[in-house]
Amino acid sequence: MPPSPRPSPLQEAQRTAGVTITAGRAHGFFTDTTLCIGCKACEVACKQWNQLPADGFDWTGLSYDNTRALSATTWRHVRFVEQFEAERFEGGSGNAGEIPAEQWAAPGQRWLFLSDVCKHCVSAPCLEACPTGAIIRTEFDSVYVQQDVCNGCGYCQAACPFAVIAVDKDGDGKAHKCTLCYDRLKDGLEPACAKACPTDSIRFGPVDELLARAGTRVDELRVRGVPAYLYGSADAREEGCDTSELNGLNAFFLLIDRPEAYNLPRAPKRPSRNTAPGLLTAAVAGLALTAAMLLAFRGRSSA
Amino acid sequence: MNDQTAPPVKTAPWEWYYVPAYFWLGGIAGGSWVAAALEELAGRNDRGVVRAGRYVAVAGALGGTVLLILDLGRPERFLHMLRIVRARSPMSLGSWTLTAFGGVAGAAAALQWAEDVAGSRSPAARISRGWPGRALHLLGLPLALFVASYTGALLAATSTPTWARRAGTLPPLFLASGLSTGMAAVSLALRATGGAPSAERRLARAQAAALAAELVFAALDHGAARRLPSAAREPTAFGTVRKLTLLAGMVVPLLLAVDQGFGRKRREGKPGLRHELDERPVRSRNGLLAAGLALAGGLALRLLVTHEGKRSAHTPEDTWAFAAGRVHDGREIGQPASSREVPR
Repeated sequence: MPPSPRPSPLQEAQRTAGVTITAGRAHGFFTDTTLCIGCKACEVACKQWNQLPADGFDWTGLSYDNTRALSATTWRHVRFVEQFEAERFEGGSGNAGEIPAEQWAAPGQRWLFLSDVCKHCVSAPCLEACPTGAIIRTEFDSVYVQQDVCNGCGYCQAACPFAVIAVDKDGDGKAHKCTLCYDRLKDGLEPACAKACPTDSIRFGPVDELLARAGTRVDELRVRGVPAYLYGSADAREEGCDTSELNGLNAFFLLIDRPEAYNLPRAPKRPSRNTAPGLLTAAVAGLALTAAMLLAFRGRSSA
Repeated sequence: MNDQTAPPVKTAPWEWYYVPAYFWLGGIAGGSWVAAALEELAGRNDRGVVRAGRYVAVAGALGGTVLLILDLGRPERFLHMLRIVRARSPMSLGSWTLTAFGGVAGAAAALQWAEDVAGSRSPAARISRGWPGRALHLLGLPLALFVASYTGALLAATSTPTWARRAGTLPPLFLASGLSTGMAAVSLALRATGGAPSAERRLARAQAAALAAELVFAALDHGAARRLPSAAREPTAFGTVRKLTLLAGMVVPLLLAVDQGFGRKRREGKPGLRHELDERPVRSRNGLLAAGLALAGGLALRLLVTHEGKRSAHTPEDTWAFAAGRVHDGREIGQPASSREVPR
């Protein structure tokens, strides 16, 4: 394809996010959970831009978060971490008006939000599992599913350590997930979710720049007594978090509670680490059992 | 905290009647090929065994491929598997090996069919029984072993905690099960076409060896699985099903196969009976029961392992324990020393 003529050398992302999108440089998200207000504008923006269907109006009944999880048709999900007394969920009609005012402000009663998304792992398990080569790494270092190649085997879904990628069993039967708005990036636009985020909880940019910004933010919060730390940077080891097996995540997070509270595994493992040992034990067992079978067939078949 | 939160990992989106059923059929195909190959290369070259093994192998490989294609939804999508080779992905390696094995087994079955049609003295029979047939058996042997066992590695190379913890035990377990079910399927096919008692006995001995190995691997595998919280919280009914599978699907057929494969030798003590035994047609109910139970046990085993994976992925504590890189000790899952969890 011939390069499209650009009327202006200025990218839209330079105006909206202050970043220049350059092919060959790793881009990602820095999601600061302390800034998230749970408005779900990112979810809506993602659905709109990517023309994803609505998932229906199903109420969880026990949470204000009715999206519940990332899926083949939900690529951003604002997770509500509702840390309240159990009675709050059990008693009454669930009407907020019935809850005594002091309980809202009681110590430890809080709401945490995390806008969850594909982590665009540097060593991505879904990509390593994909038998068709449908999942590729783009020039922006994001992980992208080529829809015309995916055959819907579902192995990526089992491989993902974060419950992100999913096969659309009710739709086209192929795997879907966040594309880091590959189409927008090509045209110099930042991803739809980051652009829509009203508090800049979701920041888009080159990963190295985002990491520098995140480090400053962590220091700033710690000075204020907030136990902030980074999840997903290959070097970060706070709270026992270790994403080094995935060589870090291009979409990383600032958290203030243990990672499990946000439904994130502390030290995600790379599934392909089991391929070689698995096949090796299979080979050893194969040799041993073939020898046993050989004896069984060879043995004195006099009868 | 609300309990409505979706689990931290997703399970494979496979229906039990497609992919796990393929694991079973693939095992049968691989095991029956081993029966055909070893009977010709190491055994007494009973053509009935070779014939049954070749036909069962190609039926299993084709049937398994059909199940995989049904799982994908659209047939041409299977071809996408053959775009690339990816050594890190058992799914990729398995697709290629299954295709190659299907080709080799198909060629052997074609030779066998030509022999069956043209008769045992025809040129076709000379090719089928000569070096081309032997070469196919030898070539197919590693492919058959791979097809029967890689599915264990395929499950292990995922983020499903209970599978990922069993990389060292699932492949050998699936291989042993593939061999035992393969021998069972061949002996059933042989029975249907009327085989020699001595061949039946060799198959029973092989089946006994495979079942014994399967029992050992099942014990090791369960030892690796039970350290996760989901196993500790297993419903009683599920444990009962597992015990039933072990007993009726492995122990009982093992005893029956041992009796059939080795047991008669004791009665051979009377020299006079030796001839009669050899003439007796193979219709013993024990052999039939052993084969049927082993086949059912193999399917039950695949479904059990699949279901364990589903339970494990839906148990967040499994993922916390697995991703914490520590063994579950009942107290400290996901709780760092400096837990900043808010007071309740």
